[in-house]
Amino acid sequence: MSSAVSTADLRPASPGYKWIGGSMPVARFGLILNLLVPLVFLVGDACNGKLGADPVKEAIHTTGLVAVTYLLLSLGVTPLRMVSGWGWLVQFRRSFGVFAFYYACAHLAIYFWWDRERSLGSTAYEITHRYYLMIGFLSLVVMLPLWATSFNAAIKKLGGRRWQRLHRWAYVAAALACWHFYLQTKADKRRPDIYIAVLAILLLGRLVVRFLPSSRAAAKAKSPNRAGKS
Amino acid sequence: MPQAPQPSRDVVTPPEVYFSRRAFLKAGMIAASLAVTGTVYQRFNTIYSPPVEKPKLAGLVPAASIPASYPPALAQAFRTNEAPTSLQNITHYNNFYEFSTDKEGVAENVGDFSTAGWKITVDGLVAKPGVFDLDDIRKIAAPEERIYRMRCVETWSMVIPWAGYSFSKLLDRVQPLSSAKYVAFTTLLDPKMMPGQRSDVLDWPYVEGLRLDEAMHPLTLLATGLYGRELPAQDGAPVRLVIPWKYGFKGIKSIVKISLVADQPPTSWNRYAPEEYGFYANVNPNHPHPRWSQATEQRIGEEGRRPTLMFNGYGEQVASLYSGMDLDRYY
Repeated sequence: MSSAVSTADLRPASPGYKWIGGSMPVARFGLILNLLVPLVFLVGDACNGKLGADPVKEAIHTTGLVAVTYLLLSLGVTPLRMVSGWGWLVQFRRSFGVFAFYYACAHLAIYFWWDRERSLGSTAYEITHRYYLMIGFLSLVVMLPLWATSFNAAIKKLGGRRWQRLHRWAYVAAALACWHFYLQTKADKRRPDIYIAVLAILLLGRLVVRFLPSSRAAAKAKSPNRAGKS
Repeated sequence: MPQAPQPSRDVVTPPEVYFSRRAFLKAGMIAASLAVTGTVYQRFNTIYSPPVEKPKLAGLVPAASIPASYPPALAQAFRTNEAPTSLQNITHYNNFYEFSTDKEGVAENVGDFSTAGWKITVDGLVAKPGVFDLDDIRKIAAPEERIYRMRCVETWSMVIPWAGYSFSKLLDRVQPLSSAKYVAFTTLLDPKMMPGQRSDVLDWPYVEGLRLDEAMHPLTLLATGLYGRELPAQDGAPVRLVIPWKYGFKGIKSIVKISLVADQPPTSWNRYAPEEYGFYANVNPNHPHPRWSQATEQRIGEEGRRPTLMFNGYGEQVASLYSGMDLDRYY
């Protein structure tokens, strides 16, 4: 097939043309745009007075719900990759996790700025005296080191295994976030119940893969180990 | 293996065009994914606002002309001069789990609700028990406009121009016996008209109760309207209770039964979470809810928060009902 022209040679040199791979693949760029959609709507609705009767509550609830949703999605990437064998899905995991952290920060920032009216004292008092706030805050604290080590150089520096071990704390962050979500809901617990069920399934799935050697081998065979490859 | 015929060079799409087409495709797919995400987001967040048109109440006594026969402190409490919350917010931000647990979703779910043939049974320890239809209720007294602060246990508040008369006027009709110490109230149970009752978030029907002296207090209002018009379904049509110095959940809506009883009756939220919601549920900035502070509140429609007042600012009128009581214990 010497006459065939390799498309790689003809492809313009922009990395933006690649679906996957490269420093900013199109798919991940698209995902990040999607992850920003709630923020765009939230800001737009806020500017147009369309956040309802209690805009501050609405903004706090929306950012919180988005954060915990993204956390669960980030945890869903690996199981989906194992089941489907699509190794390239891994690049989405970080975007979900990082944006979960950003929305959680916005969640706390809105609470501090508008609900506690910029009073550090009252924010700290409430967080330390209402245990459901404490649990939410702990979730954010757990996410912080994960966010801080979410770039390639950090993986190299920590080493694949240590980095992976650290990032298993994402399950702890998600569990705390779901618990916080459950506790803040007054009586209609359907939504938080769904989130808790999803988290339980994800966690159980991981445990099964880890402790059942046969399924582990199967998962490995399906998806090549990308540790260290970033 | 036979070679497939090679297309001639001039029918092959040039690489610039080929790749720009692919870039276009990618941009299109990103745009499509954004549209899907946006739709999902709006599905969960759009606030639907059907307009509220209710008939005017006949014979309404405006707040400005509340009879001088009331003591001045009381007449003053009947009409706060704070700016009323908009009708839009009063009718689209409701805690009424019989329709929806989403405050902004209640107004969307009242479509099947009707007050036709409504009856209110008054029984128990009374000399003259009876069944009242809405006409009977209206005939007891002319509706007065009462502009009350409303403080929800969830730390938001409103100012609402209710219409109604003191609940004591109904009690005078039925003549409570001396053995009656409490009043127990029940909301309609009808899952066909109240879709929220098809799920078991709370034990239906909703029940509430007051001590008899609380029920007899002139501020305790049997409300049949707001903003000079009949009560919209989402605000508790056709008849509800308003106790302005207590958290909003004490103000039971869509009442079908009133019983005079000797012992403290069960109340829905107290039964659901006794540590969080007491029988008395007086507005008290010094007694935090186990999960949040009650010291401040978000007045709906206002920017910033305001301090919550003891007894929601009605202490002068009602504090004597609780003299000698430990309000931290009887929250």
